[in-house]
Amino acid sequence: MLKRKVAFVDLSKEKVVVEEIPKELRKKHLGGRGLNWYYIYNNVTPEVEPFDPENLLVIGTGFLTGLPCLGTGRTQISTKGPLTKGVGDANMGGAFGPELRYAGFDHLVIKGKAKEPVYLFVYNGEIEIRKASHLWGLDTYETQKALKEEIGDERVESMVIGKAGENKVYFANVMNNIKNAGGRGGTGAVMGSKNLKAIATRGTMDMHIHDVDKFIEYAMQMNQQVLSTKWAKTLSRLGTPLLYDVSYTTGFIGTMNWQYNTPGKEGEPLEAEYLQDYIVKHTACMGCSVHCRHRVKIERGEYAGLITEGPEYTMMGSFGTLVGCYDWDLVIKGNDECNRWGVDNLSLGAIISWAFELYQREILTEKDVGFKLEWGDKNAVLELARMIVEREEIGDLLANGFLEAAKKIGEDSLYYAIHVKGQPDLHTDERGIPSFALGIATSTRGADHLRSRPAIDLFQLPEEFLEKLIGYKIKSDFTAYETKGILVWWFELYFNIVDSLGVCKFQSTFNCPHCPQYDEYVPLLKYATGLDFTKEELIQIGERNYTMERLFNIINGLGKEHDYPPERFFKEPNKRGLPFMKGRKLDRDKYEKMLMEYYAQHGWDENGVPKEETLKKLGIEKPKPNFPEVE
Amino acid sequence: MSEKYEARCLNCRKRFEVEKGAEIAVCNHCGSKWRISWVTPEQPKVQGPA
Repeated sequence: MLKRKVAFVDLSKEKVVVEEIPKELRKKHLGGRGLNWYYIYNNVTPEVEPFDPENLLVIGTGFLTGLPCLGTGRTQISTKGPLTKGVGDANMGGAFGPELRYAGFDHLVIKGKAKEPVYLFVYNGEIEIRKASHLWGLDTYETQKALKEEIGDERVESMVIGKAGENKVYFANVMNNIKNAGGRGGTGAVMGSKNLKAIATRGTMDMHIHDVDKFIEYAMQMNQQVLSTKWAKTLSRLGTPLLYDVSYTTGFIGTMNWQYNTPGKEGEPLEAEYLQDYIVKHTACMGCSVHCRHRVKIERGEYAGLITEGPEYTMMGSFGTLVGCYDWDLVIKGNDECNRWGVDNLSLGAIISWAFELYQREILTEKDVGFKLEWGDKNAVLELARMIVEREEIGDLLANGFLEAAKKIGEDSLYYAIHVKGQPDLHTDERGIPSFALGIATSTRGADHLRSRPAIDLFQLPEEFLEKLIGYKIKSDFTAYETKGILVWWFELYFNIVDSLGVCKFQSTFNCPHCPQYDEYVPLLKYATGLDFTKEELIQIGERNYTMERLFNIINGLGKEHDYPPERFFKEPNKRGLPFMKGRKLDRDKYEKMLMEYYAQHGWDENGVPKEETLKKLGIEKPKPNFPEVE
Repeated sequence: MSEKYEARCLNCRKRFEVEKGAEIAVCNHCGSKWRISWVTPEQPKVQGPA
């Protein structure tokens, strides 16, 4: 497991250099997200723009990716992103990452721009740059099918871009199979800017697990630990739509572009239970025993006959509550279109709902759009989505995200844009939950729920239990601000380790306090790699990796002023929901104190800049370029 | 005597008892009334407000 390879690919020069990943780098960063940001931090200077050939696109497998435990089908895709001009980062499930490892590589560090469309073929220690002009214009399903046929192997796994990536839509993603998305950060747009249509891989090489017997025995024990939880049982039946029931009932789901915090009774048709009518079967990513993914079929109506996978909870906001539509058919249809286009449905939905509210407020008119944008009009939703992906008329403007679009629509329109650092927020409404609000605000990749969200905060667990889990006294009340800076800090580090190992967050303590975490990762790493880590060392690696991402953002102009949730959450109270949620909004003074508590916990100063002593403790030096020279 | 299981109340966040197979249940802590779905025959879940 230690003699793994990184390939440095220069698409401009059509050259590849392969090196072994040094053991010291593993001890400092593990793999996946951690190592990806080691390469970007050291090689992408601030003057490099996201679509410049000098920008890097780094594909990384976690240190445990491809092994039979805890949903290790994960792949991390990282770059300087077009939406935030800072950290652009996505984590993808499926089977691409494992296959890349079986082909002998853990990381691909890609720079340059091909003269014409190309794809990479990675096979058992070799990498070829192949022509892809014939694939350009195909959707993500068609591209993967064509690659399997062309290579002549059904077991080829690919990560590809669709039309959105080709058109450099700022929130284009990369896709593997039907629904595995490297969704966030515009990584697909950067891939498109490099004329890189796909990376296809197939491998039969040995992973060289350090102690196979002990690893398998312990991994099976971990899988059983996960499967015994109520969380996993619910997830394997309902998938992530299970989250809808709690969020719309309580009142923390953005509705009609966050004008409301729940649709109330009107949203009942989207309850997770009603998706059961569409489910054909459940599938899973490689290495997963939970099987949370639905394969669905629409039997009747306008979209009858459509068979696809998903949708996830994100789509229930994007083509659901955010646009005032409460129809599973539309959510499933929209999800399938987004997957084919290769676009982050979460960002797309937030941009569309922003446009709808601007239309409601007569900031955008029918003349600007070409048709009416009225809440609940599913045809308007689908048509505007298509126009954005095709960069057609007003879609061309919206395809550049909130910050660029507002320069033409008017800066005042940004008040209605629910984002942080330019990245759209998930449809969660965080104004009643301070820890969630802090988490989206400080997330290095911009507004996001998968960088630190302490979902277990909602359970109001006993404080003695929280102290044992987190190692600090944490208030049980999820509407409190005090101690939540520490809670978010803990989850930032923890999720970094999860992403650096390549295990699934749904099998971590994200939504379930009884799932495996640091204590269980220590033996897993020992049996898999032979390396000894302590829990404390893993926590420090999380801190080191997270601080490097923070430094990258600071170097690129993203500082304290970008660590705030949307202004709307401070000004407009919740209008709906359970009695204790109604009337809640964020308190500015309390938020500020929570932010300071969070900075202090990281060892950062009052402006959120890592202190010299923190960098010294973590062994972080100034960037030193190390992309090998190729001729 | 009927079998009883537990679900978490979305209002007070405490666990409350649900009778086996029940479609409606009331939280004995705060009085909130919920529609119940069953993840497994032994695991109830609050689906939405009743």
